[in-house]
Amino acid sequence: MAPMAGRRFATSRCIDALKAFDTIYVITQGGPGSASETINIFLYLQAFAFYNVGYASAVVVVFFVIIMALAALLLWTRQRVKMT
Amino acid sequence: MSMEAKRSPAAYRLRRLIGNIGFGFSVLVLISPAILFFLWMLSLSFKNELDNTDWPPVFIPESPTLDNYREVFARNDFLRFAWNSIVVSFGATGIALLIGVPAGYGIAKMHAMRAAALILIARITPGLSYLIPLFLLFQWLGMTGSLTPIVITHLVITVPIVVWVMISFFEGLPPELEEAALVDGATIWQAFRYVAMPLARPGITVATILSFIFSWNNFIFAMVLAGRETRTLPVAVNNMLTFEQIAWGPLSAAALLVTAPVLILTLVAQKQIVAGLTAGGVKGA
Repeated sequence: MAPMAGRRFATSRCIDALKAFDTIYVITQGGPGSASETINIFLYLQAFAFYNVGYASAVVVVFFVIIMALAALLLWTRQRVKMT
Repeated sequence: MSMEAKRSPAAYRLRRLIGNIGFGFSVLVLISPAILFFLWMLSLSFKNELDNTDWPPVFIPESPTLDNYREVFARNDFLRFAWNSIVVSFGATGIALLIGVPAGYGIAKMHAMRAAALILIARITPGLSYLIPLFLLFQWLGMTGSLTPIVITHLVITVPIVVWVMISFFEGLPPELEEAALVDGATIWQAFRYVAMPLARPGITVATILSFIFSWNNFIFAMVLAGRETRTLPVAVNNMLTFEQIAWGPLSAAALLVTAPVLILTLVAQKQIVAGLTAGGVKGA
């Protein structure tokens, strides 16, 4: 049970970390240069600063696939916890 | 009675004291990053600009002022932004409850695990991915100047929270109660309305609090969609950061004012919030 809960926690925190936007945007806006640019910040800049909406949408799809893989892992651990 | 206590009460008490001190100390270490930046913000908001940029830093000001708070209200239309935030958060939470509570009930009773997984995915997906199509949509509809699109996009956050919390609460209810109501001739809606919903009131409270907090704290939706007049509080604070040279005093005063309602709510409803977050299995943000 304990390692399962730990893994579940790690996965959900992982997703949270991938979603981090506010802090980075407010402090550095991805700068200096692109040193602190995460997928989220990159996405935001492409879509709403440079108006490359099509390109940004493609990035969203790729990002979504990554998130889905993590979500599948999370659901799987949840299922395992329920069974045991 | 443990062995310890039998041997010598004084030694036992000492051990317990040391244990308590150790526990308190580790808790302090763990929470100190969160507490310290908050205290620093509090200190910044009560100091004048001179003290704020002083070196070595002043933590407790010699002459605390309220000027920073006065300035927040004087220089910005702070009350308007507060009202915007209230409308958006309450609107989004209210609509989410209207949709989410029956949805959670249906999913829980039908054991619709696929639908539940879909809701979880909606909860996990970063808000930014919804934003591009929604932004284009609202632009085509010409709605970008009002609060309506912000309320609608906040539903993306609030509805999954409400549904997910309600699923776990309704799953915990004993099915016999509603079965009894159905046997006595109630329709399924009546069983939901008069039996299940009153029993799930604690769950509804949790869902309301959580979705309110997440909606209140949300930044990017309003950041992209809000115009000059329709900013919510987090966006207003961010704008203080970017458009003036950084005035730390008013900035932290404003940040504290924005945090205060959520902070108080969290302190008051701590127990319910923890229950809700663990019920969801995922902390969304």
